[in-house]
Amino acid sequence: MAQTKGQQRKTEARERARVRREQQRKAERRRKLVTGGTVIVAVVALVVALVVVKVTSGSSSDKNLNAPVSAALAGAISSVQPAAYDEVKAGSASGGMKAADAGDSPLTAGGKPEVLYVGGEFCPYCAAERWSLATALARFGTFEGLETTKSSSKDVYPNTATLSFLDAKYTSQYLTFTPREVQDRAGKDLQTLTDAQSALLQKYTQGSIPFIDFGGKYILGGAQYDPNTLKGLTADQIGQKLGDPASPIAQAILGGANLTTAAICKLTGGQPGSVCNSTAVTSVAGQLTSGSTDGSS
Amino acid sequence: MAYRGDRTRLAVPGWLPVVSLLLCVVGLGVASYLTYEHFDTHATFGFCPESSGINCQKVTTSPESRFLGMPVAVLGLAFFVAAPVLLVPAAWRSPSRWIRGARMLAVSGGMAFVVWLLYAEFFRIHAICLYCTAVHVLTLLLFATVVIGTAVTAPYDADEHDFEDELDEDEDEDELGAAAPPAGQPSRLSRSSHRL
Repeated sequence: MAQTKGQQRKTEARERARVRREQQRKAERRRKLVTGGTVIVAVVALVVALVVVKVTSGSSSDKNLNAPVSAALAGAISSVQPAAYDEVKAGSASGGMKAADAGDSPLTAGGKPEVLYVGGEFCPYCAAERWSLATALARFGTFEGLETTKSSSKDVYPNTATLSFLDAKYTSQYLTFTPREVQDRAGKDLQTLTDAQSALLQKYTQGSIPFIDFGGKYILGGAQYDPNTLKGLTADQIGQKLGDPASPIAQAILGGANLTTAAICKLTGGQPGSVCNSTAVTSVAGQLTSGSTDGSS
Repeated sequence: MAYRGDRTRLAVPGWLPVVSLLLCVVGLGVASYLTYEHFDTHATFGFCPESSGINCQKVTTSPESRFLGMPVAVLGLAFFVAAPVLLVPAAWRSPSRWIRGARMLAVSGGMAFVVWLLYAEFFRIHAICLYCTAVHVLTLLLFATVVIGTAVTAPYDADEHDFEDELDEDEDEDELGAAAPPAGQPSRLSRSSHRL
């Protein structure tokens, strides 16, 4: 009987020990979960702190530097000598122009072929490409309201001097030019795109800029030359270099302009002949149909 | 109770290896794409818009895209290739301190690297890459999963002598009968009362 009582006590002791151990096990697990949770919360807090500091310090972003182009620069863009274009031909421009999908509807506006440009003032590749586009378009019409600006100081090729099409008005008997600067130098939204324009941008460059659609026939995604070519120069200095076909600046900008002009000539039916039949344009026109060249951005 | 295991094989909640491996698989996919684009000279980074704040090209070609000469994209890929070894059910069930330590070390190192990359994107490159951000989020989730998993699968270290002590105490009680406890120690009655 005494033995039975002893065994009973041992059984009870074992049960108490088991319960105590289970309680300790649970307490231990709870303690480790709390520690782990604290670590996770600390890491998340660190990440959130980085985001908050970034967002709150982001207000000290690039200032708007837009200013009307000087008369000298406007003249330099619109009056590049045909001989200079002829001498440069494709120059150092690597092209990047490719044929649009055959199924694309022709882009037109106001009963004329339309050239759609999508870029951003912060974007250094857009900064480079605008020079070629503006000089090419100046062979088919006239600009008003062109401005100078610089690309973002925080992006690659910082502070690249360029033009802005934001308030530009373009008049031509041959084509319509539709520029869209989607963000300013600080990355703030400017002009919006229509659904159709967004669809084209996504289709051909997955949203990358610069993007130029030449009447639904040719597409240019990216810059045709290295923005570093313009490094350290002001807009007026770049304008001055356009008159010197041997300069690396003219080789890049006018080379890109000739390729752009060749694409536009395909839209205008070769008009005006003085531009589209020039040596400069006919010598590079072959690069459009081959589609073998690549963008640089 | 479901987490209880023995000393040679820890019991692991079913979701733990599934979630951790799933995160690794997704991470492996994104890291593979980033590595491919890193070595592709005509990288396009589909679905990564190019604005002043978001720019995959800018991030992946920045000086910070390399660590000790090694492309960060490759390091990310290596992480997601190696991590599953420590996240399979057998590894989770293992009570080995080495395996558990290596797993924590791996995800902690990965998380520390993510914090550094976030700092670099925000304050040095001034742009973020959406694909990189996806990898960062996956790494954070993996880190949280492993931390929680390590806590819930922690082996219980109570020594066997706890149990023996308890038995010894009860046996002592038998021998002492109703004798009064030494001064300064709680009586059996008071200890029992505490338990209740």
